[in-house]
Amino acid sequence: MEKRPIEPPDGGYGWVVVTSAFFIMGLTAAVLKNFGLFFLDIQRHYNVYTSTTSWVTSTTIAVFHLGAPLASAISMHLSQRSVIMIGGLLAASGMIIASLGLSLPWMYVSMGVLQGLGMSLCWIPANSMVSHYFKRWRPIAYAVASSGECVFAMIFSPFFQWLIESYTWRGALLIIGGLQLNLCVCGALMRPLQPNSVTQNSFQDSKDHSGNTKKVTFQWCLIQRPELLLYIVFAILAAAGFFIPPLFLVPYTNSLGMKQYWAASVLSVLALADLLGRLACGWLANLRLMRNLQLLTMVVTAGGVVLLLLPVAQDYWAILVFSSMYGFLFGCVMAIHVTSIVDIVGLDGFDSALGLFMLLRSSGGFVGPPAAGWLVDWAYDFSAGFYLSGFCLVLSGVFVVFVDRLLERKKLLVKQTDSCLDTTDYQIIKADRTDV
Amino acid sequence: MPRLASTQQSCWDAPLFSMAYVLHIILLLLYCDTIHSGQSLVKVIEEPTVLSPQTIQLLCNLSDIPNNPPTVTGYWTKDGQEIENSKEAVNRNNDQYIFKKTIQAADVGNYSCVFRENDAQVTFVFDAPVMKDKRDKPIVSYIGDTVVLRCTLKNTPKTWNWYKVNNTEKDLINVTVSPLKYNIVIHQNVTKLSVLNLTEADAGTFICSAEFDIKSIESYLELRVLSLLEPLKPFLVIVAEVIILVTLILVWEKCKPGQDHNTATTENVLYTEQTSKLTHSDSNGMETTTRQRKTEQ
Repeated sequence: MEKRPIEPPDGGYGWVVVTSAFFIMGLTAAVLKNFGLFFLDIQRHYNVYTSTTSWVTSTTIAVFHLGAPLASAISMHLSQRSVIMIGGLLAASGMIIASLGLSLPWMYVSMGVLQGLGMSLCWIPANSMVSHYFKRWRPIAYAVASSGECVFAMIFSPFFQWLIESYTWRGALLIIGGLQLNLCVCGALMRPLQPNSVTQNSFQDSKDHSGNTKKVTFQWCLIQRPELLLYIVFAILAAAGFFIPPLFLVPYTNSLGMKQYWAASVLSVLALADLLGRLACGWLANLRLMRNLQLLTMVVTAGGVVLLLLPVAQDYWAILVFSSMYGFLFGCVMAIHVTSIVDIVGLDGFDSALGLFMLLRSSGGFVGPPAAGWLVDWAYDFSAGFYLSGFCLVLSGVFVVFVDRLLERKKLLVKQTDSCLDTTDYQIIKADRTDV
Repeated sequence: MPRLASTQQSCWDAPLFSMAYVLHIILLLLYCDTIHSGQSLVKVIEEPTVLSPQTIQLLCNLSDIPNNPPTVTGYWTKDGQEIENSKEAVNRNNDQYIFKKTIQAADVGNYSCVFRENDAQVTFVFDAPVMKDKRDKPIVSYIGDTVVLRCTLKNTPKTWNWYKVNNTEKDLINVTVSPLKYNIVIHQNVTKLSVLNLTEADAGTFICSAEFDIKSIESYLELRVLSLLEPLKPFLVIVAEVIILVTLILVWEKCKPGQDHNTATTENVLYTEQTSKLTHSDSNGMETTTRQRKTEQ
């Protein structure tokens, strides 16, 4: 059986896919970002401690990351469209069950497990579809899709507040669950690419009864590749670095004597800078002035430097400047760090690699904030947290440089093959032509 | 009898505070003992809040009058209105004119001493403590649920009372009369009213009243009771919209490019080859040409 490469359409229906992915990112990640609005109401309703309530959000995030390889594997057997629709149903049902206000364990199951799993089953295939539909315009397409998270986070913040005031937290959760059903609509828009039609019309394949040409198995062996392994180390360090500043910015500004609403405005500026960073970096990466990995090295190192310098800021405007720079660079990293995976493992291995990437990167997100918290307690100074995150980011940049070097060396040795499937499209086309 | 006078000599040039600001001060006394001509001064100092009935003496000390007359006339105003029989001639005492007034603590209001000669005046403000945690938005709950209404105050009142507004009338809520419906918990400066088994009739305005000896302070709380159908309506609208859109999208996709698939699978293999050459788009052109070469061989 010959494997037919799927040529990315690079436009046309692809932009519908991008819009759909924009909404998917919004209805999953942005809802997660605004979970905090329900915090007090849930805590008061169940009469528990703050830490117990915060476990709900932690469960959601944990299941979201653990479900990533599962989502990748399932979307290989079923189409991405079906997986997203299943994910939408799961997420919505999670919210609806949560709105019933049953006992606390049910909250963990509904808002934690079901919601996290649903988010995972939507988010991963959405990324996959965007990457498969584009080649030349991939950076911009991905940047636009991921900016959905920022835009919706900003819209949902006042909207959820209003919902809670009008319908109480339970009514609000019910309505948000309904909104998440729209993930099914987005999933319906994710039309699968050509391969199905190729197999049906193919003379050779129907004679061989070889079935579909899609990759069937989750490629666990990808982890053996040193480039991917090093890239995942970068991801772990970057996750550790990125999760820390949002936690400590508000307490840091408070410790300098600023009021709560000034600190809140810093976070809003950060979110806006994030959005701008994603779009700007997507556009910049599309200009192909340099390799994606080189751009990634630059922005992640710059982000680390900004964080290391942030404790220098002692008044409101200085903090605002540093935070907006950090937000911008954070957006840049978000825009290109997933598209870079395609450069490392190729489009065929992308789905599996993305699943592995998300799964392993979560460890950084879980270790980072507590480590920073311990450091801040030990040093009695919030600057310690920023130094740690800045250091993590700069170190992660070093790993990106390693990955880039390895890849460049690999490209020079064109004929090198490994135990996994061959990755470059060029190779396969060349083989086809030589056969004929 | 608490005496407020102190022998501070200087009076700083505080601008006249607006009434809105003054109302937020919790039973503070404003005191100024030296008034310079032509100035109206309001000075704020923290005094222990006066909550029980007692007499209070207000003291205004005027100095620096040109010509130093032997007597000056002054009068007191309460809330801007001159108090009857308060006009007095104040004798000079070592270049100062001390003007006193004794009031009851229960007579809350703004007292001003005004001197005729130079229109100087000082305002003393007596006001009641303000409720904390003021909610300007209504509290929302559902039928059959229990809701807890809460009022807090900085000081501990003698007692707390809850009232329900019934067509401009206040009905006292009595827990012993309807124990299945209401439950009141009082913790010194915090009171909570639990309304059990909510119905639509329970919606409306509730008043929590903190009773002091001199005055009682009230705060209004609005309760809205929703039926379970309320959030269900937008939810069902959204579900309907989702079903319609998904159906539309899938049907549109089946109808539009679906014809190419159908013709290809039902026809003869050779005929399939020819139709695939004609109907495939450019993106598949590469595979098609490859296949052509193979069959030609």
